Amino acid sequence: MIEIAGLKKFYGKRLVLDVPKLTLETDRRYALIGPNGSGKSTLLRILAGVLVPDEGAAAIRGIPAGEVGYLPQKPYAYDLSVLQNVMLSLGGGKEARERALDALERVGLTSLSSARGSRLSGGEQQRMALARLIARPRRLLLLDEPTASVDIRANERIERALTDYVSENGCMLVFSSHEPGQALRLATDVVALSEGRVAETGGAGEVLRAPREASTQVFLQRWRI
Amino acid sequence: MKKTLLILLALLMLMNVFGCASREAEPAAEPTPTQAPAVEATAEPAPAEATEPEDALNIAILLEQDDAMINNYSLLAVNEAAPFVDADGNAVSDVAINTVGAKALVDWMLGDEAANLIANFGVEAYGENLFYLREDRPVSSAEIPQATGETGTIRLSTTTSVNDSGLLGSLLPVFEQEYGYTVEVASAGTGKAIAAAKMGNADLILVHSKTQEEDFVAGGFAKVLEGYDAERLTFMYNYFVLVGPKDDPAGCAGAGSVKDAFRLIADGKYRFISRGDLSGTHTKEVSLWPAGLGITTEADSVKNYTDWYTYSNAGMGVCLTMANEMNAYILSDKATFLTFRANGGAIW
Amino acid sequence: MRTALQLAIDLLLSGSAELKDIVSVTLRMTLTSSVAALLLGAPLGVLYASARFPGRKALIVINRTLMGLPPVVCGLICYMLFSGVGPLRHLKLLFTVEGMIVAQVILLTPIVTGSMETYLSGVVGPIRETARGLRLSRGRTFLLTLNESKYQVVSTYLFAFGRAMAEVGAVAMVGGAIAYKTNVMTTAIMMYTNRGDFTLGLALGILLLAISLVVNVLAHLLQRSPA
Repeated sequence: MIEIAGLKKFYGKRLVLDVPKLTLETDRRYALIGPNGSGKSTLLRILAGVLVPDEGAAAIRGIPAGEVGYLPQKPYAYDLSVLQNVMLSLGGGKEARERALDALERVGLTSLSSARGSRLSGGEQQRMALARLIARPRRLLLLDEPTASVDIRANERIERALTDYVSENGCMLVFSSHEPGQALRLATDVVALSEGRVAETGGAGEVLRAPREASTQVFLQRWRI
Repeated sequence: MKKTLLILLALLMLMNVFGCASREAEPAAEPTPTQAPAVEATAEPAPAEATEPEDALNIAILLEQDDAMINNYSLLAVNEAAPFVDADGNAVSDVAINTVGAKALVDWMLGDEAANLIANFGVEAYGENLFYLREDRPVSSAEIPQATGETGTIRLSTTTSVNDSGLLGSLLPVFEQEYGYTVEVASAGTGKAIAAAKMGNADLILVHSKTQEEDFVAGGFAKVLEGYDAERLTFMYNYFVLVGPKDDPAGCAGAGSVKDAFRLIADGKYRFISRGDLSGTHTKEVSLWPAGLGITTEADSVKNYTDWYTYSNAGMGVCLTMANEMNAYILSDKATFLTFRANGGAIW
Repeated sequence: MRTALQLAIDLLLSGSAELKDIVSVTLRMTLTSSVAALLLGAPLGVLYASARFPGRKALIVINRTLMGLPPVVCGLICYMLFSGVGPLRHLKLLFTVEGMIVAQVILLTPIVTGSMETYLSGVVGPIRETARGLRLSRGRTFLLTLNESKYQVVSTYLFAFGRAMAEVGAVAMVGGAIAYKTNVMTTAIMMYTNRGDFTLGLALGILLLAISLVVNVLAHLLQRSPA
C-alpha cells in the first residue's frame, strides 16, 4: 500500500501539493481526478520517485521498487524499433521477445513492431509506451493521463489492455484522468484533487455521481454522468 | 534527394555567374625589354606606348630608376645572446636560435652561386632584372657545412614584398638541395617580420628598411657573423616604381625626379593609393612627399587628404587592384607590379 | 579567351606539387582538429547536460563565452605562448601543423560542447523520466541517451569540420603559412590574393567549396534514417 504523510511540494513560492494524510490500499484501483494544475501529475511523479517532495514522504510498502512502473504524461519514444522500445525493460532471449510481442498485441500495435519508435503518431506512441510498461509483470502502475492523445478506438483498446493486465497480475493501479467516465470504468476508488489538496476521496461511484465538495462538483459539471 | 539537387543547382548557378563575368582578357603579350638597367642619377620616364606591352590594365609604370626609389635589402643574423624578453618584460635566456644554419644561409646568399641567381632572376620571365647586386656588398667564399639534425631547419623571417617577388622561391631550393637544409620562410609586413625575430621566432631576417634594421642592431638583436664586419649585410637592391594611370594626368612621366612627380600629384590632388601598413614600401612612400604636407606613416597625418590620398592598410596586390580600379597613382615594388600585370590585373 | 573559372580549373587539374601539398596539409589539420574537438567536447557536452554537480552552471556559461572566442585572439595567445620567448616555447609548436591543430582544438571544442549540451538538455529530461518510469539502470539510461544523440553528433562534427577548414586567422598566426609546411587553403588564398594572383586564390576557393559540398552531401545521406 501507499502511505502519504505531510507531503508538500513547492514550485518556487507556490505550494502545488499539500497532502497531510492519504492512504492507498494495495488491492484497489485509484483514479486521480481534478482540473489542470490540481496536482495530479505532481503526486504521481512523487510516487514514482521522479520528483522529490520538499516536506513529508510517500512510502510504498510491500512492493519492491523494481516492480513499480510509471508512465509520464508525454512518454519518450526512443529512436529504436517499436519492438526494441518495448523490450527495454526486459532481458534478452526468446522469452523476452515473446512477452514484448504479447504486450504489443494487447495494445494493438503488432503491425508496427518494426517501425521506428520516434516516427509513430502521438496516439501510437502512447500505446507503445503502455506496452513497454506492461511487458513485465508489475505490482504497481502509476499512469499519468494514459489516454491523453489517443482516439476513441485506441482508447478502448488501452482500457481493455489495462483491465486485463491489472487483473492478471494483481496489480495496484493509480492513474490520473481528465475524463470522469474513464475513472468510472477503470477505478474502484476516486481521489479528487483541487488546487494541490485532496478535496475528497471515496468509492468511484459515490464521488463521481454524488460529489460532496464544491470543487469536485464544479469539475464534474462539465460531464454529465 | 531534393536537398542534394538544390545544392547542385545553386553551385551551377554560381559557376555561371563566374563565367558570365569574364572580361575578354587578352593574354599578356611578350613584354618588350625596357632600357638596360643603368644606375643613373636622373629618373627615366617609362618607354613610350610603342614598346609598352599590351595589357588590360588602366595603369602602367610611369617613373623608375630614381635613386630616391632605391630599396636596399639586408641580411641580419639573430643574436642568440640577445636580450630577449617575454610578454611581461621578463628576461628569457634559453631561446633556441640556429646560429650555424643562419650563417650557412648567409654565407651562401653572399656567395657566387647566389649572386648569379639573383642577377639573372626575372630576366627570362619579364625581360628585365628585378634585383641588382650592390657593388659594395659583402662577399663570402666560406665553406658551407652540410645540414645536421640539429641545424637542419633554418627560420627566415622576411617581408611580403620579398616573398611575393618569387626570388626566394627560386633561390632557396638550390641551397636546400645542395646542403640539405630546410628553410622555413615566414613572411609578414616589415614590422611584424622584425618583431618575430625579437620574439625568438627567426634565425635570421631579410628586410629592406634601414631605420628599423638599425633599431634591431641597436637593441642587441643582431650579431656580427664570423668573416664579416657588420651586423647589417646589405647586399642587393631594387627599385620601387611609380605606377599610375596610362594617360598620366599629373604629368609624372615628364617629371625630373620622383620627388617632383610626387609634388605634381599632391598639388593636383590626383588619386593616390598608399599601402598604409607600415611596410617598407609604405615607409619609402611617405619619405617622398613634399615636407610641407606633413605626411607620415600615421593615419592621422593624412586625415585632411582623404579626398585624394587613400590610406588603405593592405598588401601590394590588393593596393594595385585598387589603383587599377580607381585610376590612381601608387608606389609599388617592381616585381609585384610585373606579376600583377602578367596576370592581366583583372579579377575576372 | 579563358574565364577565370576555366583558368582555375586548369590549375587544379595541372596537379602542381604545391597545390597538392596545400590540400594535404589542410586535410590533415582539419581532420585531426575536428576529430580531437569531437572526442573532447562531445562527452563534456553530454556531461553538462545530464549530470548535476556544483559549478555546472558556471562551467556552461564559461563554455558559451569560449564559443565566441575570436579566432585571431586565440591565434595571438597561442603565438605568444609558443613563441621563442614564450612560456611554452619548449613544446616547439610555433610554425608547425601541430601548433595549428592546438589552436583549432581550443576554438572548436567549446562549440562542440555547446552544441551537444544545448541539444541534449532539451531531451535529457524526458529521456530520463521515461527510463526511470521503466526502472531502467543508470547505465542503460546513459546508453539510451547516447543513442538518441547520434544524429546530433554527426551534424556537430560536420559543423566543426567546416569551421576547421574555413579558419584562417588563428592558423595564419600560429602556423606562419610556411610553404610546403603550414600553408593551408585559406592562408594560401589570402597570400595569393594579397599578391594580386587572384587566379590561384580562386582555384583554391573552388576546391574548398567543392570539398565542403562533398562533406555536406555525405552528411545528408548519412542522416537519412533507413526506412
